[in-house]
Amino acid sequence: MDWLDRTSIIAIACLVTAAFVVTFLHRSDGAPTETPKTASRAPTSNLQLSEIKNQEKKIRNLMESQSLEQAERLAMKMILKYPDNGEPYMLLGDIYLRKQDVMKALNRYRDAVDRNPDYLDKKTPLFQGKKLKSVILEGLSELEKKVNSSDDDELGKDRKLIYYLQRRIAGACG
Amino acid sequence: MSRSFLIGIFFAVLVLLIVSCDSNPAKEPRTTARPKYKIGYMICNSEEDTLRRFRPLTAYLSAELGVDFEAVAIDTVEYTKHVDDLDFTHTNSLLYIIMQRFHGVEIIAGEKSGPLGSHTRGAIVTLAKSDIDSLADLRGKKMVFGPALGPVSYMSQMDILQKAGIDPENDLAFYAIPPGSFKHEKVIYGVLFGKYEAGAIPVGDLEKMSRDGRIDKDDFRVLAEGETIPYCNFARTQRVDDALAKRLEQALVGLKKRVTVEVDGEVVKVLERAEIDGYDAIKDSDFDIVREMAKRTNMPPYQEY
Repeated sequence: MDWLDRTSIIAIACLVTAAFVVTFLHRSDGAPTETPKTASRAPTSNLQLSEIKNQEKKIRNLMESQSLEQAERLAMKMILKYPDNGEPYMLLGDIYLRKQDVMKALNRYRDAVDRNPDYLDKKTPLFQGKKLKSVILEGLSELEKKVNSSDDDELGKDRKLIYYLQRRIAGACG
Repeated sequence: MSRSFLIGIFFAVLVLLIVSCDSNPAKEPRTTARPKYKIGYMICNSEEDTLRRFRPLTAYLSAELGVDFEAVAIDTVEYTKHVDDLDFTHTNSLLYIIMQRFHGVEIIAGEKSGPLGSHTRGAIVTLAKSDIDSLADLRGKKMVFGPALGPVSYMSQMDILQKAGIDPENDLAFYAIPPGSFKHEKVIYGVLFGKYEAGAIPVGDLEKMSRDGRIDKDDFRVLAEGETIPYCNFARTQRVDDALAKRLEQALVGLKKRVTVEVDGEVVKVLERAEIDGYDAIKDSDFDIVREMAKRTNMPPYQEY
């Protein structure tokens, strides 16, 4: 075998390898797409997700009919049952917002976002970034009013909470 | 191995490589279906009237943006229950601030109608021949309001009464909100036919009904008018893409009176059928006046129980 024969054999081997690689890559492209992100990053079974969804619907109906105390009780029960799921905390935040307690609402939103960053990801159906931004602005406005009432301990905690949520939103895909 | 054999193998593999790049049986055939979006139209007078007015606008927006918009008519009282299933909303300014606070909805455009453009005012009216000359004379009288979630058929008038030192719960003999559809018109007829001594209406309603020949506006006297506030508007929910929202805003603001669309085999002028004059760009801060009024009158989204 001279150099031309050897070169030809090497070239053929490379082409065969390339053909296999390309075929394999195309097969991967046609594979079913990844399943969409689940509602919670915490490991939750489909049955639990279904129960959470049903409870959420029930709580939101109570909120819409102004039965906020009952809604709050149900949301608290949900937290005991699913402490690592973000949804009960998001619901509680919404309830406290309707009760006009903005800082309490922001605390619960923080808990929700810590458990499930999807609430800040615009690409997911759970995205709540715009609502959270608006409530943060309200919280900032309340904080400014508190500056005048010189309640330093409360101020410090509230300021920290708002800055934390602002950082999370700034770093998210919202 | 012979050289020609090797060359033959080389070209065979090359052809195999090229062919494997082209064929991909695992891929599904591309569809040409347009994306679908829902616009929730708050029911103004009745579901039928709302869809009659806004289906041509919806068809125009579909054609303009190259997507499929579905018009859904939703009762005012039920509206916030459905907002998370919608992509775009068409509501009054009170519903907008409620959805903005509780559901992260963002304003797109204000709807122009009448001399105040995209704004309006609420008024308290009485019959011209009545002996009620001022707000103070309303004490002990019967009054009728429009829809409770109407910014200029209820909230604005509550604000007027409170500013005048009148507590509607205690100082009026009785107040009511008509049941069913066409509430705004029922308020005017309720005053006209003497069932109530005063009524709460948007300022343009007397003019409109008078133009239609249904009433004579000189039969009425306006006792007081509220602050000028934004009124009907388009907004977007959190799930809508920024680019699509911008295109919708441009399509609305650029909509001219001469634009027509075919709906159910009929060619109609979009704005004329919607009974509006067009759309204006508007900011969220323009609604701060509505927020302040809601806080003063203990209305949602600032209602305290």
